[in-house]
Amino acid sequence: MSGVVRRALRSPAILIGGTLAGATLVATLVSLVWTPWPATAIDIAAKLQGPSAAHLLGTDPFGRDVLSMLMVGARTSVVVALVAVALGAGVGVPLGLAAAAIGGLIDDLISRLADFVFAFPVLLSAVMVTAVLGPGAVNAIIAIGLFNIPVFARVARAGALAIRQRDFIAAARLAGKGEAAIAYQHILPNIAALLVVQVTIQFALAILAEASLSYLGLGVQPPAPSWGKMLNDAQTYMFLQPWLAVFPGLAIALTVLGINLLGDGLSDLLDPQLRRAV
Amino acid sequence: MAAPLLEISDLSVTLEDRAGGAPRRLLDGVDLSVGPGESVGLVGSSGCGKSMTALAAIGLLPPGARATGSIRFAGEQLLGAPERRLCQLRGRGIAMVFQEPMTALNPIQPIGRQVAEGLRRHFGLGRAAAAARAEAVLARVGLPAVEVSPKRYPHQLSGGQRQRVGLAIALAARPALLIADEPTTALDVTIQAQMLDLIADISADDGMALVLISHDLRVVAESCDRIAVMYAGVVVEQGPAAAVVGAPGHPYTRALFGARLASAPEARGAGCPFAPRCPEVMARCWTAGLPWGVVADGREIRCHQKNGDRPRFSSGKTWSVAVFPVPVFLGGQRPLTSRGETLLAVDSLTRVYRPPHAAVDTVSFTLSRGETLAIVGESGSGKSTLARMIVALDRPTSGRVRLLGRDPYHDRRLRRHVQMVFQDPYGSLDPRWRVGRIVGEPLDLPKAERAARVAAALAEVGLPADAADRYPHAFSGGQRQRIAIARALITRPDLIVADEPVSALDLTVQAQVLALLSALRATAGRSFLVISHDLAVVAQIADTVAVMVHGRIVEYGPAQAVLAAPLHPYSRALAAAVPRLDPGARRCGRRVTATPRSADRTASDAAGCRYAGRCPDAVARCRFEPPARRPVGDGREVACHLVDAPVPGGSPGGSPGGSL
Repeated sequence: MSGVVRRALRSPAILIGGTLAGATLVATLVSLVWTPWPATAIDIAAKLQGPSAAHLLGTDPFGRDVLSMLMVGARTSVVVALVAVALGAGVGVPLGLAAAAIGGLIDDLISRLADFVFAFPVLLSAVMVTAVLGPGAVNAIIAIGLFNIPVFARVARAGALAIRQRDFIAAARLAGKGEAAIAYQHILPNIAALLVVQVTIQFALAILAEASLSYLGLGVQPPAPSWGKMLNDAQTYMFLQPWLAVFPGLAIALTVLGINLLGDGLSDLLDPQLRRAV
Repeated sequence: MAAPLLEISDLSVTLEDRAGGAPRRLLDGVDLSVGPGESVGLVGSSGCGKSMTALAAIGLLPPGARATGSIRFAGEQLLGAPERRLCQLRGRGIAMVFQEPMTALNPIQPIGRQVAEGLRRHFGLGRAAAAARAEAVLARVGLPAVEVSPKRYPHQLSGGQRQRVGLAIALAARPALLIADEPTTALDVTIQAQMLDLIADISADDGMALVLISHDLRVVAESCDRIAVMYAGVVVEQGPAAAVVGAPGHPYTRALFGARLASAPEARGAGCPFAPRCPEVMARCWTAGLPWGVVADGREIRCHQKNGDRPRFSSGKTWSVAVFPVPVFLGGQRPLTSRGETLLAVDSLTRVYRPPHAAVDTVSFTLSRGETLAIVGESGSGKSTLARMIVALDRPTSGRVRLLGRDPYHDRRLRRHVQMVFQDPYGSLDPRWRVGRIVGEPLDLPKAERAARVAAALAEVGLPADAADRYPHAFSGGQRQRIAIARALITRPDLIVADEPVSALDLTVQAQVLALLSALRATAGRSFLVISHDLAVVAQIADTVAVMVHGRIVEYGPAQAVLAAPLHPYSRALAAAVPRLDPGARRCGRRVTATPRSADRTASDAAGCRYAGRCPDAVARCRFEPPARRPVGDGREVACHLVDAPVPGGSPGGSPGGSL
C-alpha cells in the first residue's frame, strides 16, 4: 500500500488536483466555524468594492464580502454534489450488480432504463425536474442524483460482467455462495477502483450542474449564497465591477479542474494496479 | 564451421525498475551463435531470458532496457545500429514468429494484406504483385487461397491457421534467420506437431537458419540441430541436440529432463544462477564466475563440476533422465480390479449452445470411488463443458449427472462433495482476498476451526502456514495452483474435478504439481476427474482415460491400455503428436495428416463419425453411420467402425505406427 501512496505523491495530476480540490474542501469546512464576515451581512455603504485589505476579494452590490460568500457557497456546492453522487452510486451500483448477476429480462430492463435516462441531456432534464418539483437545494440534489444513477449502473454492470468471467467466481459458486454474497464479497472489491474513478468524474460534473442550476435560479434560494447565483448576480455589474464575476468563475473552474485532474491521476494509478492484479 | 550468421557474445540486458528500485538484470553474458541454415533450440523455464535474447537480436527490447555486449548479424554489429538499418533488417534479414497468434495479427486487416505489407515495404512491390506473392507464401504455409481466402480476417481462422499466417508474414521476405518464440505453445498438441514440421521443413528447404524458443525440451529436441539451455539470464549449456539430450551435462538440463526441482529460483548472487536449486552444488558455485567448459562431444557447459572434463553423472540416483517418453510415466497406474462403489454416473449428457452443434453429445461414463479418470481431447472438444456440468456450474441440455445418486444441479448440499481446480491459477484466486480467506471460502465454520482447517490444507499441499496472511500476487504460478488445490481439498470432497490443472505452468513446476495431485489420490475414497490435452500429464495420474472428439467419447478404458496401444484413429494421432525426446524423430514418425480441423464440421453436421473428415483411415461408412462405443476387450471401449474385433494388446490390422 505504501507503494501506491509513494507513486501517488509523484504524480503531478494527483498533486495539483488534490491541492485544488482540497482547497475547496478546506474552505467548506472552515466556513462552518468562521468566515471573514458574516456571509449574508449587508453593508450598502461598502458595495461593489474591488479587492482590499478589509475585503480580500471585494464586495457585491449589497456590500456583502465575496470571500465569505464563496466559502459558504463552496459548502453548498460540495454538499449538493456529494449527496447527489452518493445517491447516484448508492442506487446505481446495486442496480448494475443485479443486472450483471441476474441477467436475462432484469438485465434488459435495467439496461434499457439506463439507456432511456441517458438519452436526455443531463442539464436540461435537471432544469425540467427542478421546474416541476420547484427550486431548492433538495430538489437540485434529486435532479442531479437521478441522472447519476444510470452512469453508475452501467459502470458497475460492465465491471461486474468482466469480473464474473473469472474462475474465482466459479470457485465461489462451488463454495456454495449465492449471487448476493458473490456480488458483495468478490465483485465489489474488484471493481472498487473503477467506481472510485467514476465518483471523481461524476463529482466534478455534479458541481458544474449545481452551479448551472443556481445560475438559473433553480438551486439554493436567496439569501443563501452559491457560486452559480453569484455569477448570475455579477452579470449585471460586469462593467462596473469585473472582479465580481472573476472570483466565483475561478472557484468553479479551479474546483472542477482539480477534481478532474484527481480523477485522471487516480485512474492512471489504479489502472495498472488493477491490471497487475489480473 | 562457416562464419556464424548470428553471433551473440557477452550480451547483458538490464531493465530499469519503474518503481525506482535497482535495475533488474535480465540477461547476464549470453553467448549464442547460429550458423547459416542451422537450427538452434533455446530452452528454459519462463522468465529465464529466452524471449529477451530474441528481442535483443531484432532490436525490439522493451523501453527502459539497456543492452551491452555484442550482437553480430552476418558480421554487422546490431547493438547500437541506427533504427533505420534495423528496420531494413527486420523481416528481410531476421524475422520473428510470436507465441500468441491472435495478438500478433492485426484484427481489422485481411490476412493477405498483412502478409503483403512486408513485401511491399522490403521489395517495393506494387499492390497486385505483392498480393500475388502473399498468396503464394500463404499457400506454402498450408493456407492455399482456394481453401482459405487471403481476404479472411484473423478471427475467422482457427488458432493453428492464425499461427500459419504469422509464419507466412515472417517468411514473406525470405529472411536468412527465423526466430520462432514459443510458436506452438498456444496450440493443440496435434496442431503443434504440424506446425513444428512445417517450420522445420521450410527452414530446411530455404536454407534458412532457425532459432526455436521453447520451454519444452521435447519440442526443441525434435526439430533442432543444436540446443542451448538458459537459466536465469545465462546460457548454461549448449551443444549438438543429440549430445545434450543423450547425456545432459549441466544439472539444470538434467532437471529439465527429470523435471523435478526443489524450489523456485531465488535472487541471484555472484556465482552460478542455478546454485540455490542444484542438488550437486559445491562451495565455489556460490562465488566464482562461470567459465565455459568444453566437453569432448562438441558441447559447452557452464558448470564448475564439468569444467574441462567429461560430465560426471551422479550415478543417476538423484535424477531420472528422460522421463518424458510417456510409457515411463506409467508407474502411477493402479489395478482397477477393486472397483469401489459408483460415485459419479454420467448418462447421455448433452449440452447444446448453438443448435445444431452439441458441445457435449450424449456422453456416458461412471466413476468409482478412488478412481482417477482423465478426459483427453483438443480444445473445443467439449471436455471443459463436461466438467462444468459435472460440478453443476452449467446446466445440461439433456441427460443426467448423478453424484452419490443425486442431481448436483438441483441439490446444493451436494456441492461440498465436489470441488474444482481451474486451469489458470491467475484467474481462479480473487486478487483482493488473502490466501487464508480464499482457501477457507467453502467452509462454513467458526473462525478458529476454520483457521485450523486452512492451516492443515495449506500444509497438505506443501505451502508454509504464513501463506494464509498473504495475497495471491505474492505467489508464483505453481504456488497459486497449490492454493487452488488446497481450496478444493478443504471440504474433504469425494470428487475433485481438475480442468487442465498444470497446462498454465512451467514444465518443472508442472512436474511438482502433478506429483502433488498424484500423492493426493492416495487418500482413500477420493476420486479425481482430470481434464487435459497433454498425454504426458494423463499418463502420470490417470487410472482410466476417456478420449473426446467433438463432444463425444471415442475411446474409453484403462490408462495403461489406451496410452500404450491407442485404437481409435484420433487417439493414435494424439499419441503420435506428443513430442519425444528423440533428436531426429520428427523426420521418421508418422504424424497427423495436415487436414485442418474445420474438416470435422461438415462431418458433424452429417450423421457420420465426428472425426471422419480428418481421419486418415476413414471409409465410406464413417461418413454416414455414427459409430457406437463398443467394448474391445482389455476393459476398453472404442467408438470406431474400423476397430470392431477385440484386439488383445496390439495394434489393429492395417493401421501402422502411431502407438506410444
